[in-house]
Amino acid sequence: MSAERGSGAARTVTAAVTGESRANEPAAGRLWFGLLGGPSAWAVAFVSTYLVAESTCVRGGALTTAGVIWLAAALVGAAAAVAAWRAQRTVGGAFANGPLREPQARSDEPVGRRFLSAAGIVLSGTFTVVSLVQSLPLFVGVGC
Amino acid sequence: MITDAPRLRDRVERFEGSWRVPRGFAGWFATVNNSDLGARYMVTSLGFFAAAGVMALFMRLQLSVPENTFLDPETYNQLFTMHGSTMMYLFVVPFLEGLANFILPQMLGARDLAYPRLTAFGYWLYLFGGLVFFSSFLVDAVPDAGWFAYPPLSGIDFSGLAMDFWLLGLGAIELGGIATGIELAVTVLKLRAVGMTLNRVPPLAWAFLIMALAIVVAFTVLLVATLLLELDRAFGFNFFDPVAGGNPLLWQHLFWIFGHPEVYIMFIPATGIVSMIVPTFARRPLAAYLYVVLAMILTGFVSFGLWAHHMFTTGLPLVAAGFFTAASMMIALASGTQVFAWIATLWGSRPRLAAPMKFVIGFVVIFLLGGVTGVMVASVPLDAQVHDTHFVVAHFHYVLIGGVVFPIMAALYYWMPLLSGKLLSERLGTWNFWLTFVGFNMTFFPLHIAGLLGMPRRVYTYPPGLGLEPYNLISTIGAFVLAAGFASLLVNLVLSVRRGVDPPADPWGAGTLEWAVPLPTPNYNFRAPPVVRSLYPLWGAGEGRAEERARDADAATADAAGEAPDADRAIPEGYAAGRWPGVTFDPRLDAIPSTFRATPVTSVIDAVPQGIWNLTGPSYVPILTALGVTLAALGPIVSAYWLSGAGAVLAAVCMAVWLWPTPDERERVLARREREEYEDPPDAPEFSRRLVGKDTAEPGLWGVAMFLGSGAVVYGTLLFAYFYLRLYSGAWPQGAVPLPELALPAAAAVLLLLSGWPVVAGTRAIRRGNARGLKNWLGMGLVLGLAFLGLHVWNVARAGFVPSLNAYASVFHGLAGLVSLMTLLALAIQFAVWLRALRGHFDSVYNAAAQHSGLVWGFTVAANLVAYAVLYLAPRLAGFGS
Repeated sequence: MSAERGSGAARTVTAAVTGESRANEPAAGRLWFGLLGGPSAWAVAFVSTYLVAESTCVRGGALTTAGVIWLAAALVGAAAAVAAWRAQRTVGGAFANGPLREPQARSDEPVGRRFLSAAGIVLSGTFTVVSLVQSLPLFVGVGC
Repeated sequence: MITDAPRLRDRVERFEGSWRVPRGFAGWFATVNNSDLGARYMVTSLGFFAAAGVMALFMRLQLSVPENTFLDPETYNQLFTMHGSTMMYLFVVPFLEGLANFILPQMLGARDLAYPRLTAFGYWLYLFGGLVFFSSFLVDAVPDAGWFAYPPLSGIDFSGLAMDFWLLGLGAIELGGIATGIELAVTVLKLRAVGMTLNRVPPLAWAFLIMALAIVVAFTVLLVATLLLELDRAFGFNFFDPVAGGNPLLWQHLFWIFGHPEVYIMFIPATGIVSMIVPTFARRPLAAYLYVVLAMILTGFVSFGLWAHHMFTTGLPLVAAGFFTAASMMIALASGTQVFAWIATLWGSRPRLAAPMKFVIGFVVIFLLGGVTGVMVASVPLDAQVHDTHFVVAHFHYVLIGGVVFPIMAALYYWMPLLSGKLLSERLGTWNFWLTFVGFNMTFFPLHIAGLLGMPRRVYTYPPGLGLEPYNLISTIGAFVLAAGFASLLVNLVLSVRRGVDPPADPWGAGTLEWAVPLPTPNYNFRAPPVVRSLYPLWGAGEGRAEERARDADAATADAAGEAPDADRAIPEGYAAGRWPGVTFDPRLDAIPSTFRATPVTSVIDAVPQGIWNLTGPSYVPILTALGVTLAALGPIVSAYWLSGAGAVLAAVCMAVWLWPTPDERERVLARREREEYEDPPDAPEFSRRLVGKDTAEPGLWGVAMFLGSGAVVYGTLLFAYFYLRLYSGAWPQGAVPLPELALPAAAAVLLLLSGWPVVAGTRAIRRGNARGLKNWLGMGLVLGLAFLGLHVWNVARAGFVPSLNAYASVFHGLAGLVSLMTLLALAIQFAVWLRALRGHFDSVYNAAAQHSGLVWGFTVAANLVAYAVLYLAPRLAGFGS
């Protein structure tokens, strides 16, 4: 390809990546919440439940609070996964359009949002399940 | 478009001049170029690696036979401490930081890292900290309390001057690490090539992003912990002294909150390296890219939930131990996902077994074994049995040598053409691999058995007749084979750099952007910024790869014959439009800007062009600042606090010079120059107008945000200490300390809250173009801030107890001291911005420094209010106080 053709291609790409009209795109905040909401809630719950469990075991009391924290983390994670799910519907069906093949395909489309929404569904969904699983010992009687 | 050759040549000459690295001895200290500093990082870390290796050989010699007297117990303690500390703090992480410094801009399509002076500052601090650490050998005060430095062993009663070298030398290194972490993260987020959307970010760049963010959090925790321990040792604080209400387990918590993520700070980039090499040698894209990236993110998060699995034998509550066991198991799922992705990528392919691929295969085998034993020790009952035995030594060497050092060696073979312009010898590489692989397994596999037989670690000898002899002898022989393997790498590096094969461009037929850079790599990486449209921009889709395969085969054949093709070795224009299907280099942006250093800034998610980031040039300020910080750390070691003061002053002056823009660096001046270069040419490409300065897009904001994130971790760590000490204390406040008064602290808190308003008003004013408003509001904010600081210091001074009284007093003064320091720092920044406002540096468009300082002050107000609530209200809460 000549330099002239290269510059033409650059113009095409530029027009795509700078795309002025993005009325239907989900906000970046929602996408980031979708991706990081689940793991962040898990991380906060993890440290909190550890401190609560240690405190309860040292000073006495019930471990119910720790269980409630895990459930709250699971709720936040689920909310994040749902946010990511809704975002991916806005960007045109992340999974339907093949996020797994997308990186390899040559494309002028700004597909980062599609990727981020798909990643959010998987990651926050995973941490929702993990938070629920981590609350189980507290409800089946594992104690100090 | 510049079509006439002389004009283009002139522009290119100016461009290359602006990127020129200063020559000569003095110039060596001024360079801020990412390639130079990345290479120095790696070379320096390999030097420390060699030192750590020699220490390991001494230890293995000592343990080769029972009741050996080759080393005395004290020397053995010193050696395992220095070996572990060097490997963890001075070799692996710095090497990976160096690799990131070197390769990231090329991989992302940037001309340099986001903050070139910070690159230099991080490197010099690492070098000086390492030298301070190793200078302990010169004065025969070698640290001997282990790489984990548990108190009371590391306390002043059992470890004298030696631990000061450990704490303060490593403190400097940690600070440098945090600086580098911030820089790497901002680079990945903001300096990617146009079109490099998040799903086209190479796996290694993702890995470096996660590593960098983890460094910012984990190293900050360790920095605070080491400062607390030094306060205990030097000033009689009591954070870790149980006699005075402290708790040595607090150190273990803080250390492992750093220490376990540290393992993944090393491991995640190692997997990133593998995810780059496997597709290249399998000649197909990485399978399950999305899940590989998610596995790395998951690992990054979960790594912060594993710390207490190092403390299973300290008496954790059963339910809490269960949390950590579950989290430890989760890591195996994430790691397994990546291993399956690599297998799927290789499945059905005919990978070329060149040296990088050999090390990758070795990595998978060894890491798998280390991972399995990791899952075993994550189980409380088994851990209780094998804790502090050689089983654990074997486990973590399988993870760290197999899981990290093997990929590092693969990386050296793979990217050496970019580093040195030479290919490493394949024949020596084969020797290197087999010696290392066999030597490693000989050294460490028998230690599993020795550990299961009960051989304790960190003990300088063992009695005969326990069945340990054969395992230790094999291990020692293996250690020398392993050393021969590492030595062969050194020989290969030296020989190949001196008279190695000149590689063709993209010698492995790789698909990622770093291989589009001409060889040898120019200082600016890319003369024309690339626009990418694929994760593998150098590869075509589908049938296009056949060409690459053919080219790979040619290169491999030529290499095997010892004569690489010399065609295409360099791309003279600095870009090659149309050469690769997934990347374009626009000739209209070739060598622009030509009079100053800059690189395009893009949006985080979709990599849309946003602006130009001006990059700083060569300077002595970074090395002088690092020298100041090092001198400040040296003061307590040599009992010369004046030296600390002088160092702090030097560092502060240098920071002021660093941050104060020269006339050429002021935003408006730069913006004018940007317009001249980008907008004025009538044929300027349409998106170049977006590339001209725009404050909201600048990476400075991200850097400030990450700096504040690190600040939040500092506050969080001290609050954790506060609550943990409270948990195990019968009364709170402890001893005869009365409950803190409320009236004056409440007044101080009100002043603090009020001081936020003028700053908000000032930044709003300048956005509207009201420069006078900015000056006035900032002035008022400064007065209120100073009033708060004065009242706060007065409150603390009249608290009526000294920090050395008990643990409550220590943590009270520690937290109050943090409030003072943060306020002072924020006020200094505010003052500098106010001075700039007085000089008329800001207007409605160019006011980034004012916005950033407002952000810093906002954080200071919020964090200090939280600290105040804990200091003054928490002891009064029902069920919390005594």
